[in-house]
Amino acid sequence: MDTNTPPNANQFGQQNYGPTGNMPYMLEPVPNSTAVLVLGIISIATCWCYGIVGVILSIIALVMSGSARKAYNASPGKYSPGSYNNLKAGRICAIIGLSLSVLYMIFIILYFFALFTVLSPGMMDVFDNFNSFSY
Amino acid sequence: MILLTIWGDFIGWLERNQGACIYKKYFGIECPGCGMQTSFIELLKGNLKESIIAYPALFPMIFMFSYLIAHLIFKFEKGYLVLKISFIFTVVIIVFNFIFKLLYNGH
Repeated sequence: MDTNTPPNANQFGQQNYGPTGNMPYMLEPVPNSTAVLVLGIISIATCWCYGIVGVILSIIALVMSGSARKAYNASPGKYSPGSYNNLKAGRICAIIGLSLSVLYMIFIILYFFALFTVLSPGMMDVFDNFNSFSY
Repeated sequence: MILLTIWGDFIGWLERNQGACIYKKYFGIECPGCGMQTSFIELLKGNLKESIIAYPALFPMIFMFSYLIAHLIFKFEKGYLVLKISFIFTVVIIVFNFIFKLLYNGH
């Protein structure tokens, strides 16, 4: 048996395939890869609540993906490549969602500063309207 | 026939109970998600064109979520690539829609 064969190859130099035929056998998914992908994608769908929810979700996704990448880099042969691709895609989605949510929050804060300084007498009417809703 | 009536009642109930965006109501500024409810109701009615006019990002978003669920169940080989591209596509649509609404519909 020569030394160039991959770690999960049999005596004929072929990859060992699992019962589904598609994935190499005995490879587990990278921890949290599914969660990172789902959180990263959901972070953009919550653009209507001030950007806060998007920031929270994408920061959670980034933290999880950081630890998962460490685990993958420690032993790359242990995990399946498909789940690592999911992890990378989720990380990219989380980065985009985080940057957009932060930009939106900055925009909202700037807008309210402008509104307060320019239209401060008009803002009082708005607060009156708010108070009428607290029964 | 009964099912159709129930479906119509459900759509009418959704239309009557649309929550107005707080931003739009009090501060006169639309948020990036404004129009999503209208678009969803139009989509339920089957009016694809009106739905896309009301909120263009809803359709790619629904596609992205259904593809995400399918990808998590069936584990497509290039599924991550499709998800990444559709995510960037959706984000670009949302951003352009938001800027367009701010510039031409801000009242």
